[in-house]
Formats: sequence, structure tokens, C-alpha cells
Amino acid sequence: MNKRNFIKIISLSLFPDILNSNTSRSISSATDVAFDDALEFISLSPPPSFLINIGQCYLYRRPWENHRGLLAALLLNDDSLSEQGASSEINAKIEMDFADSDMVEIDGWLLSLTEARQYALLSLSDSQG
Amino acid sequence: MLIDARKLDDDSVLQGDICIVGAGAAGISIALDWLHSSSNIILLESGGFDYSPDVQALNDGQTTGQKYYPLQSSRLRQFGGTTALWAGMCTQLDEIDFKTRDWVADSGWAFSKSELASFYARANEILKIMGEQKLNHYIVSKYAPCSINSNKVWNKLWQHSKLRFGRDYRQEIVKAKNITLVTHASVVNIECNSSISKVVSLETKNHSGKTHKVTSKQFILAAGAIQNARLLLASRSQAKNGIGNDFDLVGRYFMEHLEVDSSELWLSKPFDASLYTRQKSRLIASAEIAIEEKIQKQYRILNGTVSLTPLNYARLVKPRIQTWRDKDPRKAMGTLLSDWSAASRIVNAKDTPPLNAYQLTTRLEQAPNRNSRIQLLNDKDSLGLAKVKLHWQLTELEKKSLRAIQMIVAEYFGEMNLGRVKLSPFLTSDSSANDYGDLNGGWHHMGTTKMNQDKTKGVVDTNCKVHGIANLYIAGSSCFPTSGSANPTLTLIALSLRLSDHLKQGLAE
Repeated sequence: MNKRNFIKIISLSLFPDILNSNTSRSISSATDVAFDDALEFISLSPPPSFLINIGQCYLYRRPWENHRGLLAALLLNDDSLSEQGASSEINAKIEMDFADSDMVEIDGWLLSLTEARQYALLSLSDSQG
Repeated sequence: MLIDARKLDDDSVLQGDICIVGAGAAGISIALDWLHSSSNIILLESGGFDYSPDVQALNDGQTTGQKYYPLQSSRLRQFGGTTALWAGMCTQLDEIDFKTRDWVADSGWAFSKSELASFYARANEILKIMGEQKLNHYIVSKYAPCSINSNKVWNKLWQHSKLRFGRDYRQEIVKAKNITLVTHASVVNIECNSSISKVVSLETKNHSGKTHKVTSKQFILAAGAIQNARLLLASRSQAKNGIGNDFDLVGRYFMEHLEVDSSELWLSKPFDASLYTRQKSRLIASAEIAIEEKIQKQYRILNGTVSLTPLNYARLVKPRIQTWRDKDPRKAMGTLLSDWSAASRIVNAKDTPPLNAYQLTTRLEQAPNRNSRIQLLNDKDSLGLAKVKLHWQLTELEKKSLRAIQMIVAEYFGEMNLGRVKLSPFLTSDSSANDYGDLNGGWHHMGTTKMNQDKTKGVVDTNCKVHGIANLYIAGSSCFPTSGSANPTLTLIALSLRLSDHLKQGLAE
């Protein structure tokens, strides 16, 4: 799979059917910055600076994972999967992370290890073009 | 029968078979249990039927340690007690709350939850609420299927009793031939025999300057966890450390329920949260997300539950520990309600659909802690009784438990792919150990005369009798060895009825 497509797939695997337009409107009317951050978090508007920031925070805590190839391998063993297959596998890994208490805390958010790695990969991809 | 002690002759002596100190939920429940019996019950109430500033001021005291409400406005001194302004939230303690947990020092009751089963049923009748089976049927029929169900969390159900003991039981108590309700009778001293093995009489005073004496075969202190301890500690004329305090336990182990905005839940999918939100005044029941016993064991944490409040409303509401600052409970309540109303107006005026996000508020058990305590001050109230100081102290276990509970809830919503949880700043990994944010108490006072069969570990025995004193009993949540996370009223009534049965059994023998 093309690496750019791969990153897109794994980034969008979280919250695919989030926020209808009404909810977006109500959140964006809030003045609290945290609301906007949260909106970015759950709406995943690409390329979301918020997610990239989370990804950077993750890498700051785990510098040994600061490598695109390593992160990609940790996220998905088989990069020959179809886009749909990759997305499903990532989603399954995220659910499994939560079931196994395999979580990380970043900026107060309690995230699955897999999704944190997604954002880390996204942040590396963003910085490296 | 009703007697206003202000109108009694000075130095009068009242005689009864059982004297109950305090006409709140515990005291009235016991009195009702003896209705139409051949025993003469004297029910002493410090206040009258209405609010009185002079009487309420008798609750005044100091607080240190974890920030707390003014003591004067944290309890009501009038017939019916604090139920005059309670939220009516009723639920039972859980099985684990009665067990000894090796990760919770001084935990464990002398009996299991099953011991209280029949008394919970009777307490339901007093509070005019449904039994658990009927409640479950009601919830399932209204909200079926319940939204939360996993091997980590479960639905803990609360009922909202509309009962006000003062309003709803006044006539029954006053008209009872074998019950003498004595209002404006504040106990200021417990007098024992020379060997301090038996109570002989209680001394009462009032603001008309009169002093009276009450003699009885049995005495029950049912004045609330702070006042029960205060009366024992302040009765020092015969025992220098107070009555029942040979092992320096009276007043120690004060517990409250920690109620704190602990995290935010941002949903990615629709989730019917109506059962869990705190718009409870319109409902007769609601649920909170509770932690399975095996998960509590696994994480070695205290018991706690989580409720949901729409975030756009919750962010506009001030913590109760900030709004409830007035010594006058009526004014404190007024400020609290004004804050809630203002938040509602703003939310409603925006005319926007609610956020798909909720404030998660955790209601947490406090770990038993002998340094969390009530002590006497040198300063005295208007009737000459030493005032108290509350030192409310928490431990690392509360903080650890609060954080772990958010993790467990986050795991549930993540695993279900329903949403994500963001910790409140005071719970993040880089917060300081003693930071509890704007922590509220639930106005639930417990533990100051804790129960234990061993007199070196508890003030009262398993029948709520003060160790070493043959005829002095204590009713209420001051006897709780651990607090669980459930509001205490239902359990304290059940425990009081168990005490009542014990006294009846003794009478029969």
C-alpha cells in the first residue's frame, strides 16, 4: 500500500462517523479553547494540528519510537492489506488496547496505545512532508 | 406527645424507657419502630419544627485540612434533621463495602451485606421507595436495555425519595401515646454511674436558660456523626477523655464522600445518557457507572461511581465547595440554586443542541483514616458545650482511585468505540499528589464512632452499643467502619432498625 494512503487510512480509522453538523455548530460556538481542541480531536479534520500535537507529545515520551518505519510496523504487521482491511485491523487493535488496558495518557486524554501511535505517525508525516 | 422544653419548669426530670437523642432520619426511624409499643420513648430534638438561627449556630465549628463546608450549615438542627433539604438519593452499599480489603486499611464490617437485607427492606418502607427488584423492573421497562453492561462496569441504581422526615412523620410522632417528642432540648452532658459503666441521665439545655434532666433505661445517640462524637468527647466530668473513649477512637475516622468533576467524556457515537445524567429532580430513579468488584480488587482501589452531566451545562456551574460558603444553610442553598439556575438559563438561551460531551463526576468512598477527625475546641457554644474542629484528611489512595476509575471508564467507552475520556487537570499524571481540584463533599458525615467487635478498634460493638457502657447505643452513619460510595441515609436507617431490633430482643429476654 502507498505510504500516504496508509497514513490516511490509519488516521481516519478513529471516529469515522463522528459529529453531525448540528453538534459541530454548537461546539464551535463555545469560547473555551479546550472545546475547540476536543472538536479537532474527535472530528479528525485532517491535517489536525491537535492530533499532531498529541503525536508529538507521545514521541516526546517515547523517543525510541520516533521513526516512521517503526511506527508503521507497530501499527500494522501486514502492509499488503487492502485499505479496508488495514482500517479494520487498526480499529480492532484500538478496541483490543482498551480491553487490555493498553492505554496512554497524553495531555489528559486517555487513548489507546495504537491510536496514540497513529497520531505520532501523523506528526512525523506532517513534519517530513 | 409533644413537649417544648422551653416551657417546662427549670430542673424538670423526664423519665423514659428509651431516650433517643436527635430527631433526624435515624432517630425518627427508631421511634417509629417503637410506635404503639408498651415502652415509653423520649425523643429529644435540639431544635423545633422550623429553622432557628440560634439553634443552628450550635453547629458552628472550625475546619482544617481538605477544604470543607462551614460546619454550621452542613447539618440542620430541627425536627426531621437534614432531610429537610436533602436530595433524597437512596441506594444500598455494595457487597464489597462490607468486606475486609487488604489494600484499604481498617476496612471491613463485622458482618456481610446479607445481614442488612431485611433491614434495607424496612428502611425502604420508611423512605417510601421501591424494593430493589421492583426498581430494576422499573428501570428496565423505562430504559431497556440498560446502556452500560460489561465485565468492568455496571449500572448502580439510585432512587430519589421525596420524603421529608420532618414534614411526613411529624403528626405520627406527635400523636403517638408512647412517644414524647421534646423539642428545644439540646444535650450538653452525659452523666454515668461512678464506675462509668452505665449512663444514668442526660442533661439538656435551651435558649430560654432552662436545664433539664432525662433518665432512661436505654440511651441512643442519633445526632449525626459530628454531634455524636462531640457529645461523647464533651462529657468529660467523669472520664477525662470523654465517654467511650478509652482507646482514643471517638471522633477519629471521619469520612465523607468525595464528589468531584474528574474527567470529560467526548462521545463519537450516539449514547442515551438520560439514565446517568443528574437532572434527577424529574426522575424517581437514576444510574451511575459503577466499578465491578473484581476490577476494584485488581486495581486495589476504593469504591466509586460516575455520573454524567451535559458538558455545556457543567462548565458553567461552580463547584459546590465554592458556592456553599455561608454559615446559614438557607443562604448557602440559595447561592447554590442561583448558580445552577444561571447555568441553565445560559444553556437554554443559546438555543443550540447539546454537546455530544459530558462531564464525568465521581462519587468516591473515603479510605478510613484515623487522622481525619473531630476534636473539641476550647471555644464554647451559647449553651456552654465545647465547639468542634473537623480536620478532614485524605490519603493517596483516594487520588489513586479517582484516577483509576477514569481509566476504567475510558476503557469501557473506548472498547465500545463510543468515545474518549479526558482527565481533569488535577488527575493528570503530572499533577501533585495532594491536588484534589475543587473537591466537593457530599454532606455525608460518617465514621466517628466506628463499629468493631474489638474495643481497641471501634467505639461501638456490632450491636451499636458503646464498648464498656451497658446502656448507651449509637445510631447512624457515625457507626460505619467504611463508607462505600453510596449516599448513607438508606444504610444508616437500616442499621438503626437493626439496633432497634436488638433492643426489642433484649427487652423480650
